[in-house]
Amino acid sequence: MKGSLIILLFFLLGIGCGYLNMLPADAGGEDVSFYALCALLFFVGYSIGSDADIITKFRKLNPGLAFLPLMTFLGTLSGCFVAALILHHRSIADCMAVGSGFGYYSLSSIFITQYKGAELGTIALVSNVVRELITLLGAPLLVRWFGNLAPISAGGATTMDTTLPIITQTSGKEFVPVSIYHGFVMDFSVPFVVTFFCQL
Amino acid sequence: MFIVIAFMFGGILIGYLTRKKPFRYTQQVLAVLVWALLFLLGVIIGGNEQLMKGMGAIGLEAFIIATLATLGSVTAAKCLWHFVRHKDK
Repeated sequence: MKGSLIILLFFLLGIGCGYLNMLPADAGGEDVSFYALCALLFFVGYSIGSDADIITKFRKLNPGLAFLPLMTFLGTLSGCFVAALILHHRSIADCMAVGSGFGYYSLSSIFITQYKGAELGTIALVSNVVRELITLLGAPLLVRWFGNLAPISAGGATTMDTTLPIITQTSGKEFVPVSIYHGFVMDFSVPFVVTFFCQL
Repeated sequence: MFIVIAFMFGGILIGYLTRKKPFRYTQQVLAVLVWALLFLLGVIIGGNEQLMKGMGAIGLEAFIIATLATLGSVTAAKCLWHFVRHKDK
């Protein structure tokens, strides 16, 4: 919990700095976060490679975990269905299109802006950023309440890069292969699923 | 995307090669990098006018969809987790 609060604090500090333009234009650019991400993943890799027991941990993984992307998919769409019931003015297909960004906010918001206009596109952007934030900030609680697979499922398409470090820390290193596999499948499905719901 | 994954595999290789004498502060470095990344995500969001303006009305809708979508997926993940653990026992 303390970890999540520190993360939240840094995030809010970042918003403040970005909003008030306190940093030089390039400092907050996507480039810098890309390098930070590369460094992060390098160290995630390092912690896996230097762990002598890791191969035995991988072997203990259950083949049933291959179904995790399907569970994420069905669970997300059910959630979007309930959201559509609450938000009367949005159609079920619209809510499902937003939800099927699975945290991949850049791509899904671009797609939805093109098919459905800027308003729904912005909703997709914010909604998928929020999903990533819920995963990053809430991962410890998600593990406690919903089991070790929960942060992976919540992370959606981001589980092979941005949310992988937090998954490593909360679910355990042995879940890294599942997480990468899950992220890859979800990532790949985003353009197809979003397009499908936009055309309904 | 694939460059990022390549970095991870580079890390795995170097970690494996140096496993006899591992670098001890990996967890601390990871924590600092996660903070840096969230800070930078904040900077990007805070600097995006369209996003910051939309935070009011649109933000609530987005929040509802995101929360329910996440809740649905973690519930589904819990079912699979129970199933997998049950089989393991």
